[in-house]
Amino acid sequence: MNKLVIIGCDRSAGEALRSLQETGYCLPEGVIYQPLPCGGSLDVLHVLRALESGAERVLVLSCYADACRSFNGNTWAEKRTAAAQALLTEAGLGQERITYRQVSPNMSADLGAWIHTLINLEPVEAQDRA
Amino acid sequence: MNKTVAVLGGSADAGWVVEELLALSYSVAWVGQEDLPDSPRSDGLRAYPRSRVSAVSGCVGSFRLELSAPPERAVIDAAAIIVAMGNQRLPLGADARIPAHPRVLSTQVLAERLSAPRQISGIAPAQRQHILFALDMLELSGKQAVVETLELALRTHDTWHCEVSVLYRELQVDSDLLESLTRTMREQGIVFHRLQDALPVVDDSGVHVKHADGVLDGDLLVIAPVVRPRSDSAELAGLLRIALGADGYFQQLNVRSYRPGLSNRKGIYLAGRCHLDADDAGARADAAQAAANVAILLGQDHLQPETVIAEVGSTKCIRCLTCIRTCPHAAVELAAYGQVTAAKVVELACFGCGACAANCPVRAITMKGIDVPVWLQEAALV
Amino acid sequence: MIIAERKPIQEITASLVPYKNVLMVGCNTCVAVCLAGGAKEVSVLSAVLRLALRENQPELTIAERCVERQCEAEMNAELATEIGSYDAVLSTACGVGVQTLAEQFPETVVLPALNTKFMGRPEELGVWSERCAGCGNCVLDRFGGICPVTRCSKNLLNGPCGGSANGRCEVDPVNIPCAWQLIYDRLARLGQLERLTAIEPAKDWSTSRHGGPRRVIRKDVKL
Repeated sequence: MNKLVIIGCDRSAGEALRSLQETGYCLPEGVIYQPLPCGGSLDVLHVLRALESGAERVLVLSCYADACRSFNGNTWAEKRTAAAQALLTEAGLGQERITYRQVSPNMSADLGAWIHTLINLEPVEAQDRA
Repeated sequence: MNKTVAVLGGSADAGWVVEELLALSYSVAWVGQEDLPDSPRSDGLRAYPRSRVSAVSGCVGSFRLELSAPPERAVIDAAAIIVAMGNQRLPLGADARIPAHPRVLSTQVLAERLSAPRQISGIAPAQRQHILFALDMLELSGKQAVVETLELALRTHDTWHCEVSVLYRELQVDSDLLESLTRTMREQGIVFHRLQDALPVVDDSGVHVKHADGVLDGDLLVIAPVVRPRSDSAELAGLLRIALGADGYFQQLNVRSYRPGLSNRKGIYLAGRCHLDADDAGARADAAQAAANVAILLGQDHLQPETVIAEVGSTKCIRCLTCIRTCPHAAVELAAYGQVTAAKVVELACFGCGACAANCPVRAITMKGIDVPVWLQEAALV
Repeated sequence: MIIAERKPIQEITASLVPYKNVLMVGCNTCVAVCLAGGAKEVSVLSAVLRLALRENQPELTIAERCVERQCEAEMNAELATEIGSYDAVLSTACGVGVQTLAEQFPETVVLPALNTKFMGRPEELGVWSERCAGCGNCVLDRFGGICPVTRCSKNLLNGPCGGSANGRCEVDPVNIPCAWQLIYDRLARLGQLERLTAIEPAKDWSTSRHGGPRRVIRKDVKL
């Protein structure tokens, strides 16, 4: 079971991750990265499928506003992440399983910190019971 | 491959773009709604003055522009298009908020008075006067108008030996020209004040303008021109299917891009003051950038699609038009697949962002050239 | 076309409580175009339902199918061999599609996943608005091509009410234009304002819902 699935624009998130890996960083166990050509191709289904396949959390990453190569890919990514969160909320599941962040290629340190934080959070279901 | 470039706009900006393109040996079709400025004679240049683009079809590498120039029509086949229609300057008086009064002048009127030899026995007509020059009074003046107004203020000071003050709202001294100009002005005793949001008061005693530190009283108020996007920008943007920003200027694909001047469509570029605020030097530099953008595109032997692009499954498509409305690059259109009509991705125009695929209600669009794992894409099997 | 939108998830999960083995059936016509019930929405909704019911109804399975036009029995025929093996069908078609399935497969429980809203058109990406109320007696010829029956909140046929201000309807000034403003502007543009001097008689609603469920018969086509 994956603790964290990262779905991100390969032009920003992918670049940040690769430069992080150049420093010797390895993705922690249970964390996988799925590249997208652009935040615009993020699908609500991608997020839901990741959760269905057993991921504890999903981190969606896209470029900053005005930095998208396709004009509004970051807006699409943000809106569709919000749509997935709204669906989960409506279904009574809580939206904290899904996180959205904007990232630029030089934010490898931030990316490492986000991953660290997300995989060290308490499991969502344990939170629900508490 | 056709290497004709269509340059749209009759502005000075377009003239510089034409010069740059001809220097790179491209064939140029220059279309302007007005009489076109003088340009270098060249076999590579065809000029279409007083012409309006009435329809645009095709895509990068093979655009077709239809022109209406009564009484005849013309068609231009171009590999790339550069939009360089410039901005427009509004005359003083276009804004009713500025009081109509002999003490309030446009830069143009002042320049005319300045060059008229009206000195009487060696005394300039305004020698004991205080002349205020206002930039960005109600709307932004634009960089070129700022430069011209500051030069005029300096010339007024030198010619009439009068007291001169400059009122500004946002004065970005970001070029060598502006830096040396403002330094010289300060050395000559010209004072700069930041404007407050208040209209000038004009009465028989003079003009009174609020600024950050108080009220400035003067004898004459000279107001710099105002620039706005050209009123026909929206129409051309619609025909070319490229984006206008909220401010009405053409919008660059990506403001953080290392390569300025790209529009949201492949093969259509922006140059000059139809998309940025620049003085003449800045607009010339942007013209060179636009020509370089074209050279990057047409420098190859033939155009190639990107490695990742979208593809429509024509038999799954329900022709709902969602992809066509979604595509930020105007790269999807209805097309014939044999006898069947369905959405089709124009491969050369596609950036491969996948926004269409994610919005498709019947999952008829897939991304070629990228592996999406099965668990992420396919319906979960029961 | 018919415009619909998804029901609240809680309402759908509540309707599924008695069942263990559910078949979701989408429709790739109107409700796909309005992004409510095509193949994609079937996948999204079934994924959410599976996630939502993982705790409370872990034994629930949901299979996904999508037909081209659920209001056509012939197009649902492909479901015939398997539909009997499910406890219930959850349909993301409009009310017509849901009823077609129910009529066609009388032994099967068919549940709606959508609320069918109206006949309308896309105004822009992601926005649909109502254009026709199906009154059965079209009056568009007399009102400049703008329907007062559908687009006036009060269905007024003889000019606007006092709730029209700045061209907007008081019911929801932000989203609803005053139909009578639209009619006036359009007739002015067509040079037909004199049409508005004629009094429109009271509408005969018997051609609408008030005359009971309706049928259309083409005698030359029906054998």
